[in-house]
Amino acid sequence: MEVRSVVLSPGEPYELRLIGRGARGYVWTWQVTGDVDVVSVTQAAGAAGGAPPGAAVELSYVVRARPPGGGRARIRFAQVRPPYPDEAPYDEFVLDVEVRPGAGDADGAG
Amino acid sequence: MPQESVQSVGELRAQLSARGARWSVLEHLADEEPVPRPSLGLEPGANLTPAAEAGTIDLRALIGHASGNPHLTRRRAAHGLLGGAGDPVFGARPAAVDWRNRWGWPWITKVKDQNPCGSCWAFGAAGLVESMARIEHDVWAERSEGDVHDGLRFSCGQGSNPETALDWITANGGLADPDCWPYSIPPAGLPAARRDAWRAEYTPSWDRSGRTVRVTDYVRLGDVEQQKVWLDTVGPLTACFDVYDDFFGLGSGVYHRTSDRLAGGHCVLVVGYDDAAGCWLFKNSWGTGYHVGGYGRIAYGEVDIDHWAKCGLRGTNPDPWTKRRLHTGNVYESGNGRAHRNFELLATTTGARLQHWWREGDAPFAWARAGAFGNDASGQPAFTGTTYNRNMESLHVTTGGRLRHWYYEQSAAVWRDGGVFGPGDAAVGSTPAFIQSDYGKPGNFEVVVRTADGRLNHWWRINGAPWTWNDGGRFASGIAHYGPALVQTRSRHLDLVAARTDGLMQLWWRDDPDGFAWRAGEVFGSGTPAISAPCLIEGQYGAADEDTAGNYELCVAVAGGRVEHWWRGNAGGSPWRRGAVFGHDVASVTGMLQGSFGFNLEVVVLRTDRRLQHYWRDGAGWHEGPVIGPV
Repeated sequence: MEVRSVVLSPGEPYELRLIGRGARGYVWTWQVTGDVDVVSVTQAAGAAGGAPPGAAVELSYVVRARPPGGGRARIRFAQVRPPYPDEAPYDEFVLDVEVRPGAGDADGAG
Repeated sequence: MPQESVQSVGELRAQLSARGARWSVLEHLADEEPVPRPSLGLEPGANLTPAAEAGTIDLRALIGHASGNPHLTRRRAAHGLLGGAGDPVFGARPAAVDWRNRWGWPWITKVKDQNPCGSCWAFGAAGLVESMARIEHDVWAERSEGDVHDGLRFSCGQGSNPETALDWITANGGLADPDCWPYSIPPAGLPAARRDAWRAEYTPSWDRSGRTVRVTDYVRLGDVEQQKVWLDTVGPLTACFDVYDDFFGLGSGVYHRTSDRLAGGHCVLVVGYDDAAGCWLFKNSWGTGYHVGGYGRIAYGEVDIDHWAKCGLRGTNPDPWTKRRLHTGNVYESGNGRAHRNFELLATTTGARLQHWWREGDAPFAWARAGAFGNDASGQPAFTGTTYNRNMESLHVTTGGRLRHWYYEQSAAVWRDGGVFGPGDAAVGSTPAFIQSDYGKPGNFEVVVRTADGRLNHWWRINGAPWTWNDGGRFASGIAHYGPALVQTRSRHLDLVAARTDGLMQLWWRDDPDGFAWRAGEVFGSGTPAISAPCLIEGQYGAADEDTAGNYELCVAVAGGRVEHWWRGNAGGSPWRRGAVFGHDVASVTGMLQGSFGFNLEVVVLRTDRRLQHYWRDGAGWHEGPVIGPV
């Protein structure tokens, strides 16, 4: 399992591209631990169309540092099949985020 | 996007860093790996046909004839598709079709799980072959998705489409069963980053040509109304569609897309439709945890499910391995003939020779003579098809009390003498039991014959060089009649039924885990003594799915020249029961099968006037068929 660390300023986004295996029933889920209020995670967009049925596709997720900043969070992404909670994830990825203390409101807050 | 000059992931990461990019390379790729360039859009020559391109087809030309399944013949007649004249009848189809259960029978194999590979297209195609073999031939024929997936040399993560799979199946002699070559997945512990690239080395068993459901052609249907008519009159269809991320939550109800986030393309087997709900009913391949037991509903036209042509099959030709428990004695159903359901019969004739007879699988179902061979047959032979390229194989007791093997080599179209073996005191005039078991690939031949002293003698041949027959030992005593009544069960042991000198019948079984010892089982009978050897098959009644054993069906001639039909419910453990008494002037039952005629039982008897006659049972009971000819 890969662990990656990034340092962000409040409001700053970080884009992750993960392999989607939706054609096999897999979805990416994530869990935030630590200072859970310093980051937000959203799926940026769906895959581009046209891949052969069954093929993996590229999915984009945006991790955004939330103001006022000043904290550390760990985001654990797990690729799972929701109806089978006892199955081991197909894939996992951990992103450690350090959010610098901000001077106040920043662009992109919210 | 990476420029063409960037070849490795490490180079790309360096480039992104230098340019201050706000996105990252796929997290799971090592620096030394090449930058993936997945196919976007169908490649030139890609094999997924748009529905508009497939257009409408001439249904009457394709399916305007009686089906092996009598229910479908009625449905085709209702649509005006039979007879070759007049316009098809519009509005004839029902408001809903559900192949999971039609006319009181199950037709669809169990929901499978492709996890973790991107092989939905192989599962859709295999599900189509399985369901059409069941619908056209009344037999469960579990197929291997791995046969086509690995035969195409595809990796675990590689997507494709059902048309590519069906093209391969058509061109490569059909689709094999899982024991010939299984669907396999990456080994446990393989890192996620390497699983998608993992590929199984395709090495099916060398008797694959005798273990495939063959397919002559498949049909692309682009018109939605025709797709529904096909579902009503032929069977299921493959379908492909876009998966959005709300689809994973689909339970009951009809799926309509509510998300814009595309998660990939997917293929399934459409097993029905429901006009009232406005949806297709599909069988997914993500296990039973998704939707409702693995089945879901998608609204017509949603997520491009009607954008691509759907694929249907007809004219499947199951292999002898699939049908190995469905026949015994001197008759079996081969894949020959237009409908792939000819009967093949072998019987004695003058000069202790053997005469090959066959019956065409279409009306008027006339029997005809083929070749004759041999010169030492003392009684009726056992006759079967095997995984050796679907060769016909015969075994008989010689006039000298031994056993002789003959086989029809399909590739050379000639009968060959397979040699003599056996005890030397086999009961002259009796018929041996002869099956191919699943010990080894190709499976061993297993033979049991009654000896002159009223015992049973087991012989077996391991199917590899030097092809020698081995004496498996003698067991039982007081056996008056024994013949074509040997079945290998799902748990792999051998069952047989013999008639005792007291006129009753008894089951014997081989206890494989405990030294392969033969053990006596239950005794049954009507009190009217058996006068010849029982015939025993494991049929399709009681087989709720491909993994469940069907009932035992047994026919035996009894005093008074009649035939008693007995059955035992293997799935529910019900005891032997007599189902019917029928026939007249019967000396012995020489063969029995359940073939591609609506779950009918077919029996061949030897009459007291030394002529063979056909009887069959349908939903209305037992019927007297034609006299085939003299022995």
